[in-house]
This record gives sequence, C-alpha cells and structure tokens, in this order.
Amino acid sequence: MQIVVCIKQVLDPEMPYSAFKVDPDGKRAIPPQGTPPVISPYDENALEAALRVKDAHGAKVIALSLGSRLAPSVLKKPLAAGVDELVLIEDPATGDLDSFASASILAAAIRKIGGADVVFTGRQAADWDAGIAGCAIAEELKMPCITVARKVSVQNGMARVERLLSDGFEVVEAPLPCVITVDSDLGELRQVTMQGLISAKKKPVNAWRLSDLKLESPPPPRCELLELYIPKRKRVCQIISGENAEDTAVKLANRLFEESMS
Amino acid sequence: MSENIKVLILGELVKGSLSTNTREMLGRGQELAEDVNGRLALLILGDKLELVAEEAIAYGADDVYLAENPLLKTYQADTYLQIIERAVKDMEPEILLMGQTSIGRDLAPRLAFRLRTGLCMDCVQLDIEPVSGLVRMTRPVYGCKALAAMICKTKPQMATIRPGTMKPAELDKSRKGHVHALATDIDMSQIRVKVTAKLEEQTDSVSLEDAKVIVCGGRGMGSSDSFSILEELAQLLGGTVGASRPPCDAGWIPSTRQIGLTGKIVSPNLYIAVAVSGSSQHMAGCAESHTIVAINKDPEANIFAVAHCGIVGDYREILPPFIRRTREILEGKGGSRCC
Amino acid sequence: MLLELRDYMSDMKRCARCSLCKWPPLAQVKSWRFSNMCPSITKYNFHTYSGGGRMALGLALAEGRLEDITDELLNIVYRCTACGACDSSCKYNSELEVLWPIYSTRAYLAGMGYFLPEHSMIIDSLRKEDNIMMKPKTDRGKWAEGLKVKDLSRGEKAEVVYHAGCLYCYDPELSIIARETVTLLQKAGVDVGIRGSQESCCGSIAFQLGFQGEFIKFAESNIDDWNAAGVSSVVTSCACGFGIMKSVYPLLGKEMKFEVLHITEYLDRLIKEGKIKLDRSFTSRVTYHDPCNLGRKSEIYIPWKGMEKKVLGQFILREPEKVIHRGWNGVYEPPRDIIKSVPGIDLVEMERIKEYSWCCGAGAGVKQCFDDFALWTASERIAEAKSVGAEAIVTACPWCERNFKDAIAASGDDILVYDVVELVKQAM
Repeated sequence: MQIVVCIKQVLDPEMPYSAFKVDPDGKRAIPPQGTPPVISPYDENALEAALRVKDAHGAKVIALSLGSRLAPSVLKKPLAAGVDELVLIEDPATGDLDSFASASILAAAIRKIGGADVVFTGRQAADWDAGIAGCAIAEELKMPCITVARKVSVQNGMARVERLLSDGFEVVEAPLPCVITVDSDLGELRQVTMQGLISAKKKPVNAWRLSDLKLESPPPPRCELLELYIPKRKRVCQIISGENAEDTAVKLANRLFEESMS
Repeated sequence: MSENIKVLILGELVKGSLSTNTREMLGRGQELAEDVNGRLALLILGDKLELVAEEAIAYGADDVYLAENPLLKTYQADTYLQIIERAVKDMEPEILLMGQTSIGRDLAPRLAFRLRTGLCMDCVQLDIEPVSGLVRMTRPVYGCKALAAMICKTKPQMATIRPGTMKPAELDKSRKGHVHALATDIDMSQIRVKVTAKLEEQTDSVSLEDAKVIVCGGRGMGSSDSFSILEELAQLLGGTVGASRPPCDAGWIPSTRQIGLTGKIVSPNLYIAVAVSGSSQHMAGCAESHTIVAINKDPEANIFAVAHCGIVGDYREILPPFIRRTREILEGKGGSRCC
Repeated sequence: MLLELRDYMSDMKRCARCSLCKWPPLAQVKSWRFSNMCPSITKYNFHTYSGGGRMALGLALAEGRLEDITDELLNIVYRCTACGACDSSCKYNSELEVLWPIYSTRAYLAGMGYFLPEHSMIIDSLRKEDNIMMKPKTDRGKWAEGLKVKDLSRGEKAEVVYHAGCLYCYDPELSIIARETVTLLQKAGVDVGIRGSQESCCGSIAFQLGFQGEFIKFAESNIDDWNAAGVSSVVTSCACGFGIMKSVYPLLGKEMKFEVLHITEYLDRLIKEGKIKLDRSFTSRVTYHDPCNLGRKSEIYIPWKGMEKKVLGQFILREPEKVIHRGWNGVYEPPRDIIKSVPGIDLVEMERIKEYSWCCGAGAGVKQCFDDFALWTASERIAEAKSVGAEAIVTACPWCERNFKDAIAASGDDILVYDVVELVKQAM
C-alpha cells in the first residue's frame, strides 16, 4: 500500500502576538525573526493518521510538500516520525499559488510518485485557513474525498472513516483510492525520538521543480487578492480594579448583575 | 427556469425550516441582487419541501428551486454535486453563496473545481466593487489575525458565508415569488461514499450553540481538575462549559466543547473567558456574544482587546469570591436566573 | 525590544579581526596553559568559531552572501555556548556587540527554519510540557514532595517565590540541592513559596538557541504569573534563568513588579544580616567557578539603535549615547563572600575568573547537541581547578554542576563539585 501525505509549511500559528506583521504592498505576512515556520498543525494530524494505517497494515508513506523557501529542518520531522520518504516541490516559477493551483501541482506529483491508495492532508492550512486543497486534489485525481476525519481504518480495499458533523459524528465508507482530510480530533503526531532523528538522516529526500512534473507553468490564481491587512480593534475593555482579588471579584459580580437587570 | 438569476444561494434546513445562516445569506443576498439588477434565488435539496418554499419567499427569495428526492434528505457530496452543478450551469448566476457549515465546507471546493471558478471560503463581508461590479469578498486568514479581500473574475463568483456575520432577512409574508421544481435524476454510479452510521453527541447539558451563558476555560487553566470550578460557575448561572483549543488538545475536556474557528461558533448573552488568551481563532467562535467578560493574569492578553470588561489576575484567586457573591445575589432574589 | 540581525550590521562590519575575543584580556593572562578563553575556537581552531568569526558569519548572512545553509554551517553556529567571553574581551578594547549578533544569527536562522534536530525536540518539549528536559509537566512539582512549603499555584501567598528551574526540578541528583535551598530559606525566616507543577521554564535555552518567539511567550507568562502572585522577589537557583531574567526579560516592555535575585545574592544578604549563622567548620581547599549567566551575562543589556557619526575619520560618536555593558557588573562577590564565611574554607582563585572566566561548556544547547564538546570544555576547567590545588569546585549553576559531574565521571577524576548551597548547609 502506498500512502501520500500532503503537508504545508506555514508561519507558526502560535507565534507571539506581537510578532505577526503584514507587508501591505507585498500582501503577505512577514516571517518573524526567531520563530521558525512549522508544518501546518492539521497536516501533522494527517501524518499521524497515515502512520497509524502504516502501523496496522504496513505501507509506504511519502510526505509531499509544495512551497517556497522550504526549510529542511522543519520538513524532515515527518521522516523522524516514521514517514519513509520526503518529496519537496519548490520552483521560483510558482510565485503565489492559490489552493486550486497547488492542488493541480500536488496531483501531478502524486501521479509521478506512482499514485496512492490513500492521500491524507489536513482539513485546512494554518495560513489561509481555506480548506480547499484537499477536495481539489481529490477532484484532480478523480478520487472520492472524505473530509474532517477523526478516525480512519483501512480494510479490504475500503476506507472506513469517522468524520465530524456539527452535532456529532458519522461513519462513512469509500473504496480506495481516496483522499481523506484530517481534523485535530484524530490525535497529535507521535513524539519524535532520538532514534527517529538518526534514522531520518538515511531516508530519501527528493527535490522537484515544475519541469520534473511536466508542467510548464501553474494555472493562475482563480481569485485576485486585493488587500491583506490587520484589522483595528474598536472595543475598549473596562478593567475592574479593587483592593485585592476578593474585592475585585465582588465588584465584577455586582456589575454584571446590575447590567443584566437593565 | 427564470431569467436573470444573478444571486443564487444554497440553503440549509434545521429541523425542517431555513437555518439562521440561510436567512442571513438571504438578507445580504437581497441587497446584492438589487445592486447587480438581478433576481435572488434559493436552492434547497431535500425531501418534502413545500412549506420551506413559502418560508424562503417570505424571507426574500424571488425564486425558489426545490430538488426533492428521498436520497437528498441527508447530505452527501456525490448526490448534491450532481444536482447543484446542473442547476448552476442552467441558471448561470453571477454570485453563488453557501454557508460556511459542515455541508458548505465539504461541498464548495468541489463545486468550484467543477465549475472552474474561484472560491472564497469563510467570508465575513461582501461588498460590490464600484468600478468592476464584482463582489469584494473579505475573509479572515492567519487564524483570524488578518483579513484578506479578494475578487473573482470568473462566473459564478463563489463564497461561503460565516454564520453570525450578516443581518438575517426579515420575514415579509406579503412577498411574492416563484417556486420551481428541479429534476432530481441521480446517477447512482457516481455515489462512491456511503454513510453507514450516525452518532449524535450525547450531552446532558445545554448545547453550546443554544446556551445563554457560557463559561470558557483556556490554556491557563493548567489541568483538567481545574475545570471543576468552571462547571460550578456554569451550573450556578444556568449555563454550560466550553473551552478554547489548547484544553481540548491536552485532553482536559472533550473536543466537542471547543469554541473557535474550527470548533463551535456561539453567541450567548454572557461569555466568561477564564484564563483564555483570546487568540483570533478562538475569538472567531465567540466574538458575537452579547457580553464578554475576561479573567486573565496577562494585562496585555488579546482577550482584553475584545472583552467588554474584565479582571487582570489569577483565576484561582478571583473565581471563588466571584462565585460566592454571585450565589449571594441569586439567592437574595429568590433563586431566579440573572441572564 | 529585541533587535534583528540587520541592526548589528555596523558592529559586525567593524570587527577588525584583532582576535582579542579568543583570549582573556592580555593583562589577565597568567600562564600559557590557561591562556584561551573561547572554548569553541580552542577546540575547533578555525577562525569562524571565534567571536570575530561569528561576526563575519552573521554579516555574511545579513548581507545575503550565505544562501546555502549547509549542515556544516549549522554545526559551526551551534558549537558555541554563547558564554559571552568573546564579548567581554572585545569590550576591553572596543565598543562592539559580539554576543548579541551571535544570538541574532541564531534567531535569523531559526526564523528561516534552520536548526538542529535536537533543537526541535527541546522546543517541542517546551511547547507541550513547559520544560526543556523532555519530561512531563505533571512531574515538575515532585522535587518538593514532603517539603512543607507554600504552594503559590494553589492561591497561597508569599513574599518570595523560589524558582527552581527545569534542571533542579527534574534531575534527581540535583533536586536535593533545591530542597536544601528551600529548607535553608525557611530556617532563615524567609516567607518563601514555590509554584510546584505550575512552574514553567524561564525560556533561557529557547532564547539562546534562537527561538525568540517561544522565549517571548514563556517570559511574558512568567512575568504575568509573578505579578499576579504579588511577590516582591523572585529568587532563583538556576543561573541560566537568572541571567536571562536580568538581561532580557526587561526588554519585553512588561512591568516587572518584583525584584529578581539569584540564590547566592539572597543567601549573602541573609548571612550578612545574621539570619543564617555558619558555625560548623568545613575544611577544604576550594575554588569558585563563575557561571557565565550569573556573571558577565547577567548585566542588564540596553539595546542601542540610533545615529552614528564618524569624527576625524576615526572616532564614532553615537546619538543617543550607547550604554556599554562589559560584564563587570555581574554577580561575582556574593558567592565568594558566602564561601569565605564558611569557617575552615580555603578559597583559591583560578586564573580565569569573573568576567573573563572559562565557560563550563554546557550552555546554549551544547550539552544536548554536542556532548563531547561540552565534556572537553569542562575537563579544561577541571584541569585549571586542579592546577591551583583545589580539592573541589564550587559553583552556583545546575548546568555547570551537571557538566562538571559528567566530565569527572567520564575521566575518573577525584575532584569534587559543590553547589554554594551545599557548602552553606555543611556549615550550619
């Protein structure tokens, strides 16, 4: 069985608040000093989903990442966690890709790898939060797509997935090959051990450009980005002060009660 | 099929009638349809939908398209896509909206792919650009730390709309409109995913979406034991307990209690955020609450930029006297709920 | 405000390659054997490993001349304990910043996503379990089990909070010292409390490895915790923590409503006030090793950003004036005073002391990533201690202690290692 996990390198969503800055002319967020980029958190859940299937049935797991300024120290983490191979696609010709363009490039890469029985990816990336790429890759590869999975098992050529609904969960089944997008409810990526790091050094890493995928240039973005900005906060919070914690707490309770009466 | 459908909305039902989100889209949709000199249409898939059609017209739809088939009663991407793709190709609307809901998130990307058009997910604002006449779609990005405004030059311009961000349409029973039935022949060979079971969440307490009072705990709570004081407070106020993402990820509280961008979106009368930093992802889930109270040791925590009032301090010192005083007040008034 | 690598460009350009950074200030060199000061270049013998070399490296990065970040480059950058010896030596002659370009180079590389695999394990541990030892957060309070001490995380109040530090909390051999410290403080009548399992890392290693974003989160959280607890002093045993709290925490712009003290400063105060009486004799010939973070690196750092004007083609005038910190105002006398007040003790000084002391070799991630380098550096220091006839090395930092003990165990040496607190306890 061959499993592909599509992972995206993003600016750390947990960077300190003061570090997040936007370049209005370039319409992009500025990578802060001292905070490395990370693998998008839901993509880490996707890696965990893939590794659990590998544990249960044995499979070759390939991590695939498309982007610019890809950082090897960041993207080798899946290898240390148990993934067998890493494929990086980086090409100066890509410029700004939207979800659909990324999906077409990733799909071409998956075909070049030799296809996949299951393609895992996170439900949405922590930078653009769009949640489009997973379904778009499925459409490109003409595979069924199951979104927001919290539990995945594979048996007899079928994937059995428990997925989130707004008021509970449902269990669905689909024939392989299929695309599954993963939610954090599935569980965190397993801890990386020293042995994992050592064995990661011997695992293959392939770097491809668009020409390796027989793609001339990626399709242009379907939407045009007009502006990227940090909104100004309008509300002013009333901080309640008092002589000590008890006094402050009592004041708050009184005030809330007064407000609710009016 | 009516002419000049400019704005098409995919509606959703909750317990047999239009969801609030659908009514919000109808509210904004009416205005957009006027701006682009066209008709507003609502598309509903399901079974036995005549009453819904009347409701839809009263809430502003000029045309209502019903696709009725027992197979469509439960959402399934493979069936819904077939019907909607056909309908859109026939109607050729300029603007296509659906809710940023469990269905919308699953459906919109695939539909946009097949229609070869652009898509803006989780929009919080729609405006018409004066020169081009295109829709300027604004959506939060980077975990809601920033806003992005985009336009789509292909038709239809697609967007999913975040619940709670637009004013719902007002009910006007005198409105007139047309109801159309859509053919619902479904190619069964295209159905690849089968639903085999459905498990509804078992809870004793009020659901987060319906609660009038929510007490929410964040990373600063420190451990799962510490949530018991939040339970106490919630019970006292007749509300329920929620959490931001870190306590759920740490296993201190089930993830069904998560409030935020990828959790539940809530709008209670009173939202008490305890030891919650107020990250944008979390605020996306609770910003529409009527009154937000924050208790946090960090005076510069982002929550204080969004809360109405708060206390800077350690919740372990503040909550016990707060609970005592609240209990005094409530008991003094004969035990009636204050919110 | 933490400056970026680009802000140090003028300093990095002005390095004249005089090589003073590799040696103690020449007037303080007492022998050929112990005439080195930078462990990095002494072991690896290639200019890039010295302070001046690291300035050149930082400059190349900032100017975009180093595009290909290889593994070897990362090894060069991280085979350095950021001990600040180069910085102090350089400032005997000039006014260049050397240590902060070293920090900023690491932050620059981290921001681009370059770091060693061990770093990602340390930072993951920090993010998930609030400590850099890769142990569970829930075990952090175990060192204090059985101790009757106030727990501030349960809402109890105290004047002084004792911050033990990750190493003292989790290393079983060293936790005893933390227990002894608390008991000592209580005996002296200090109203002391701890935060138990809710204590979290000071963020020092995250900062020194270049993960400044992570550091900011931990530093701000600690400041908030201590402000909210209403303590008037924070006393810490961890020299690494102390150094970073004094020199970098104030740069975050958050009001710190408490005083930060190292345990040696505090004990010195208590002894001089007569609250601790050292009446038992302890005869030993000991030497004191100045931990980098307690000494030269604990000076308050004031980042400079402004206008420079060259006068007569040679002198640089700065507007506003730059405050130079040379490492002379670190904590040097209090530990020595404590040792000297132990009856029977014979304190001898090594050759490289105070702001020109030789690093123990454990700092800034070197212990975790390049243990052989750490042990070699420690063995050099142990040789120096033996050369002045000391039977024991006394120090005041858990990392120094850990590294020295490991080096002694590896070499089978018979020299002993004491923490200042252990000495005080022996003398009571």
